[in-house]
Amino acid sequence: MKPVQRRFQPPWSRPSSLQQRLRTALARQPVRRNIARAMNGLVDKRRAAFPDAQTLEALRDQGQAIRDQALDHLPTLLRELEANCTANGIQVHWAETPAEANAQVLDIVRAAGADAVLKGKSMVSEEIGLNAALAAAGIEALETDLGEWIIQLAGEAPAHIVAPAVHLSRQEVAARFRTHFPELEIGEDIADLTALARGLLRDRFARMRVGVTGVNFLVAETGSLCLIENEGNGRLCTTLPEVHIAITGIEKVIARLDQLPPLLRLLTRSATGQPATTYVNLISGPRRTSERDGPHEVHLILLDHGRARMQADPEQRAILRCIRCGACMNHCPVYTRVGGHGYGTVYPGPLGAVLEPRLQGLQLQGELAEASSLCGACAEVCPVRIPLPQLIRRVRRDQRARQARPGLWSLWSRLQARPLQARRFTRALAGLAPALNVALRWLPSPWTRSREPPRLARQTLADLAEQEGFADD
Amino acid sequence: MTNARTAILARLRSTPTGGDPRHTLPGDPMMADSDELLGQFCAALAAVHGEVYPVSADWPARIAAELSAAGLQRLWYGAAGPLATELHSGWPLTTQGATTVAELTPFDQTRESCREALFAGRNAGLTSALAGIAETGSLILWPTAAEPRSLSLIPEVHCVLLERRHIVPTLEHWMSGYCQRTDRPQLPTNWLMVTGPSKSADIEQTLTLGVHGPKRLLVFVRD
Repeated sequence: MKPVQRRFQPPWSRPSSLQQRLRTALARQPVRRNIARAMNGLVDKRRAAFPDAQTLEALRDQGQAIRDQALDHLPTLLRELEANCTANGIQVHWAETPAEANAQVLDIVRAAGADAVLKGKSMVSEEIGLNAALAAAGIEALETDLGEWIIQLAGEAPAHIVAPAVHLSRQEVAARFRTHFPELEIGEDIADLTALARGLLRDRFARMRVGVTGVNFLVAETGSLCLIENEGNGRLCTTLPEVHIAITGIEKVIARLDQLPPLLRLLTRSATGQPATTYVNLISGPRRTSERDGPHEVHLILLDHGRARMQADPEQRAILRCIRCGACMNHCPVYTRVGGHGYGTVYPGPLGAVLEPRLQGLQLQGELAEASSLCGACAEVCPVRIPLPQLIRRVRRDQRARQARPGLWSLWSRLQARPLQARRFTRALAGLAPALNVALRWLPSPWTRSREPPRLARQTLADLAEQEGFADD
Repeated sequence: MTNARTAILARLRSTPTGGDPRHTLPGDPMMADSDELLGQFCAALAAVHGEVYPVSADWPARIAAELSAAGLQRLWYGAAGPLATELHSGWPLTTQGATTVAELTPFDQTRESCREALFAGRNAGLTSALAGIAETGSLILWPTAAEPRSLSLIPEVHCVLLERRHIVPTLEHWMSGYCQRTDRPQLPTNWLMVTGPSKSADIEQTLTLGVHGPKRLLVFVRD
């Protein structure tokens, strides 16, 4: 590949770290091909799973109403959940920050005398950096979901919240397995690769003392944790170890058990087009006295990490309705081109653009909201009708309010507030148009890197309008 | 920790709203014909690679035949479970065309001591089902001390005996039935809905069966 000659870049047009990440992601053609193919497939599967538009719209109304009710009564429901979980024998812990949540997990793991934990797929555990925190304390975290295990072997972050290894082809998966298990004969057949994972992990399942998982829904009424999955690794993580630790955000609660079926219907069909996942688990406590299996302890860690602040804001609250199906990213023209790694955050896509600036702060992640064309596809498919473009604009607005306006722009806005002076100024600019047009051609800016520079007209719009006989009012 | 709880709850706002979203049951309310439900259940289960076998009182022999054909060594079941007596009396000494019959093995010890055996060798597990869901081909399982959850999880084949009359149209139907019962029993520690054998599509969105859970799901529907 020929090295690209870059023009001089003045400080105001240097790419930010997000822009650099996006550029790197855009240059990775094989990854883009894998992601685009997968996303097209998921879009088709979702469409086929909702054949009737009217039924879908009624279901979305229902989903939104259930989640809205839960968020409107969140403090009450969390207290009810805590009381019912406690009555069921589930130990409830509260964490304001990722560091607190990690410390709580670590305490429980140490109390169990374990030096390794089994992990079911959990985005909240990614959000708090649990694996790194455990590793720092000398505790191994073994991912058991096939996709998560593959990227853990590769030392990568998930590229998608539902399909973490979506960016890899079977050849790339096989190559990663070969690097990790040089003693094994490894082909590129998908069934063989899967069988290999089953064999290698099964051995470890039988011996681990702690399992850590996420939660899909918390049912306040019954004090239950709902976990859905296809592989069975989640069930192994919640059945075999002596201790099960479930970690999730405070927003996952719903009021009643009979509200679960419509949400499951929306979640699995929106995510993968499946009418139902292989397993739907409702965990309502540790092993009871007469029982032969199941963990002796179940812990639930409820994480805030900025969620309570979002809940208290009437507009931002809507993002907490999210049931993590990933449909917004599957349909996003930006995500489908750059993939999850382009964003550089745990939650990518439109969801990430709204959530990450609130979790990590506008200063760190506010720019994510710029990685959107505001086309609205995400809001059209969201199963709980989150107005994602509106929330992305809100992040942009908050970001602008936080940043000082550059001097040139504040001059410009002051000028526009005085119509007569503005007119005199633009007329002067039009007079200088020939000279300025030459200068503009050489002005380095991100805009002109891939576009023709704009040209100033020789007459102002106001003058043209006057010539055409329009009145000045 | 208590401080975190107080701080989080203090930050949250309650917004009183009038609505309490109760769901309406989806689908055609007239669709209660038992043949139609069975047909829908079988088609949906086949679509997720589950296997359906219509059976009558001979169900233990039918299971034995399937397990022999698959070369499985043991069938685990709940020693004090609802199927134990019938299973024992109906279990054949030999099955046609096979030299060995899977050995009936009760799950009657604590899991820790059964674990090695459950993971080793070629096993099947048998459970009852509380209900079948016609729309998705799902099974509602209610694991208890007498019929532990490991039976539907660790063996490579999961066999289920389902009563035909227990097939309902949708999960909504089952759930609202359960929730509206005045004498509703406490949920088990691990209520389960199973739809097909364990699967994954994490590599190139290509479906592969038997990732961590059972590789086959055999549903014996009794009339």
